[in-house]
Amino acid sequence: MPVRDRLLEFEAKRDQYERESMRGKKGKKSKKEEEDDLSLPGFLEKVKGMEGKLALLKADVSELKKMQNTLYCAPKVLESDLQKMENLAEQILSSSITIRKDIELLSSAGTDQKSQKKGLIMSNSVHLDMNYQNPSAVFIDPYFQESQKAISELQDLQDRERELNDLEGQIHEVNMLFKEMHGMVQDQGKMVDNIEKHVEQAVNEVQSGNQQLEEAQKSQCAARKKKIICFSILITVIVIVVIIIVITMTDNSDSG
Amino acid sequence: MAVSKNSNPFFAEEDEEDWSFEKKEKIQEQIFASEDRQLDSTMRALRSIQESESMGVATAEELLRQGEQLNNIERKTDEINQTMTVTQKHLNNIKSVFGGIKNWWGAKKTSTAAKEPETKPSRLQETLEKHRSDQPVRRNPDTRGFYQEDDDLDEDFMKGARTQQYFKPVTHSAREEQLNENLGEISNGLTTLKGLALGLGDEIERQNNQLDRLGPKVGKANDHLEHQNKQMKTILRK
Repeated sequence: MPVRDRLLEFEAKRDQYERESMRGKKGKKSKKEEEDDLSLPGFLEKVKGMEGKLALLKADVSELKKMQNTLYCAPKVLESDLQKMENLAEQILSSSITIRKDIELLSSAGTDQKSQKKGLIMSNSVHLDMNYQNPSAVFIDPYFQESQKAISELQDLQDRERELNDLEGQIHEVNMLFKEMHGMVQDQGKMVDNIEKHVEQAVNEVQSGNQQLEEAQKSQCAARKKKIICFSILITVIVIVVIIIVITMTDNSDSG
Repeated sequence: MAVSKNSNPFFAEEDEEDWSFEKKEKIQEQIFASEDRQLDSTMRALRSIQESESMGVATAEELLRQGEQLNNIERKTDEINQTMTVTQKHLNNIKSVFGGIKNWWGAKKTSTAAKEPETKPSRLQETLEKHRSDQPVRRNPDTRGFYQEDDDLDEDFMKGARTQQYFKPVTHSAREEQLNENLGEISNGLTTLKGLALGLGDEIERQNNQLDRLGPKVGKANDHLEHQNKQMKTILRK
């Protein structure tokens, strides 16, 4: 497992952090100021508060250790003091590192609260681990971060996958609709074909019927004319006959 | 740093390594699997869209054909009705001399032959045909091959101009690019489908209205026929 060598870093900044530990309260204040500035939802503030408490705890523990050593190892005060001072410096360094990381997480995660929360939980668990182990546990941090990043990636991917599946389902529905539509149009197509055929036939029949009626009308006209002519001839003949009869009758009466 | 690692009774070096390393690998596997599934999903969706498109086009063609048929039917029915009026005149003539006089009188009325505006500019037909003619064009997206040969800024520029990010990228892998492309194609396909569906809907509505008009016309023709048949029967019996 590749481990980042931060020893030089630690040593270079040791005095600065020692001073910070003296002004422990100032550190807390700056943290609180940051809390107010970022104005996070309640949950994040609580987690931050927890971390502050843990830092306090650590400071107390280191102070206790100091006191114990001074009590038990009186002649070796200088060496143990130095050692405790080193330990104290490292612990304070690590706690400030985690605080820095939290700030980075908060500023980089942006509006993604979920990953923020995850980040804070992760950093919190790092805190807890470091309570049990030495500050070299800090070297595992990058893996925590990476796997935590991977977890959030997976979540996003799964969300997206769900949405894509929904989309696919809907597209499939649309496909079904198109198939149905096609089927209906085909069926009705047959009916329309039928209707068209019948209408064509009907048109033809009606037209021929019309022609027949025309002929009928003509022949009736002709027949009527003939009837009238016959009738009129008959009547003229009858009139002539009647006239002849009348004339002969009058002639007969005259001559007799 | 004299504090030993074993101060934590639950701490085991192997566990720690496994927890961060293997877990990360497992998660990576899951990520890959998820991406694969997503890609498959989009491919299936694309195929589905293409199928819908081809069916939609077939339906549109069939509908247009039926539309023509319906127009034909309407025209013919109008013809029948007109012819019927003429036959009625003949029949009136045949029935009696007075019928003929009635005809002269009625002839002036029927000069106003109701000619339906059948030839409505069916732009819907045109939109459908446009879609139909668009099909062969859209089925050749392989003009991309020509661009790639250049290996120019042109290609990248065109790519930038063409592509559009449809989702928030997570892994920034090549598969995500493919996914994006697929989503783009899905978007285009869906636009076509939408146009098709709208065109189909309009055409069907038009045909529905036409059918509503046709119904009474055919009924009228039927009535005429029956009536005139009766008249002829009575004439023939005489």
